[in-house]
Amino acid sequence: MTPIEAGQSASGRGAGTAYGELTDKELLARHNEGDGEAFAELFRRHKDRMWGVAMRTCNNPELAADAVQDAFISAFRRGASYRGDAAVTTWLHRIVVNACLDRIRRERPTSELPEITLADGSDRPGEVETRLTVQAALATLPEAQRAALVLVDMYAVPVADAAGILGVAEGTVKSRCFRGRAALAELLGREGREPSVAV
Amino acid sequence: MNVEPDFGDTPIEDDPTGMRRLLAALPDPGPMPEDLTARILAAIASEAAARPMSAEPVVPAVPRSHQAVVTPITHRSRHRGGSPASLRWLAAAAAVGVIGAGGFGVVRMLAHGLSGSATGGAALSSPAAGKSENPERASDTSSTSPALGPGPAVKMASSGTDYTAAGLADQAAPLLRAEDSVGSVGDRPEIATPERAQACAKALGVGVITELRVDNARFQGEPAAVLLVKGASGWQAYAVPITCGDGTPVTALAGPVPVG
Repeated sequence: MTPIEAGQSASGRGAGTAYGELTDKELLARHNEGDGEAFAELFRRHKDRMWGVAMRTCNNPELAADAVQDAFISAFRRGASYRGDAAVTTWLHRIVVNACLDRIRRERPTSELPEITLADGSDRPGEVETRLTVQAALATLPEAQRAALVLVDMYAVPVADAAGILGVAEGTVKSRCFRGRAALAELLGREGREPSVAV
Repeated sequence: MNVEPDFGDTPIEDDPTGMRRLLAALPDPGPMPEDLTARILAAIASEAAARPMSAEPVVPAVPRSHQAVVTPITHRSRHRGGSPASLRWLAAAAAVGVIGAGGFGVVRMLAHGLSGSATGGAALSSPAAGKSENPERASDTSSTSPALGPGPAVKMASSGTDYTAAGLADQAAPLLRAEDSVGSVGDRPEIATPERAQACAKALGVGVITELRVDNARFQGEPAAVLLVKGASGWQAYAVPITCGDGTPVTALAGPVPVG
């Protein structure tokens, strides 16, 4: 499955059911017309993907759970705001990512950052030299870079789609990715070197 | 001012740090936990229930495979003897917007509930399950006509059950699964047509529903009806007076209670 699909998604699709045969756009249209079941089908279809995005963006299961719930309820209420110019999944991604960033910013004053023990940078091939997991390092990046890397590098979302999701220019997405990668590499003590250890 | 450097035409895949490959190799967080799924579905159901009722009832989605064999019931006489009985019943199911698998079985329930008369009222004094019905007579029943217009799929029965307030959910549950009418014939029913059933549901203020089943029976010894409505939060059962849907204000005798 490509990261962003404009049509139907096979994820969670109810084989042989009426709603399972509708495209995402058709489901959202029915939702906007008052069909009480259509949005639930849309949720079932994309929940796992959005959960993954939330988990990787928030790096905290509780935060991710709250964010993804916020996102789907927000999407339910704002169904009429979908203009049909992009895939429904792009629209959902945008809402989920924004919900995650909102939750992260709200939590920041009191949340504890993950304990970080930086690698000492010495070259010890064959040995786990990085005590900082990639996910934990990702969590220390600015949200803007983190969101870009989650979409573009983890989920292979095309830059153009990521730009639509994040509401920024394509060039901005690229620069956030390149800067984020550089920052990660520095944190992990691998600047300029290929990764050699398991994460 | 935070100015992002311009990476111009550098392909996004161009990554000397190797971080892109590292990030892509991270294990997937896995599916959404079931408790979270349930929590969000419940929240969605609450949102749906809180939405104002549509000005026009939403026609429930019908599988595309069923749409292909839709034959309006009013025109069924033209095809009499031409199509297999099973296809006629499938068409009847599609015409009243039956959803999902088991449509054939469901239509048999509809036939048993409505056979015998074109007037609708006497049609519901139908024989018990097991007695064969003449689908042709049922096909002439005007109350099954798609001229009803858009609305939830309606299935009628006369089970003869004497419902109680405490046992409403358990007693109503078989109606969700029965392919044919259950039990024996009750008193002459009043909620005898899908239109009346829909009007009753509307009078109860149940919100947007996609399916509706009516059992003309008894409640605590008196003639009454049980409505099963399917909305965003699943099936709910109401016991209602036999006057429900006649245009007068109505108060449920019992319910709603979740069923199934």
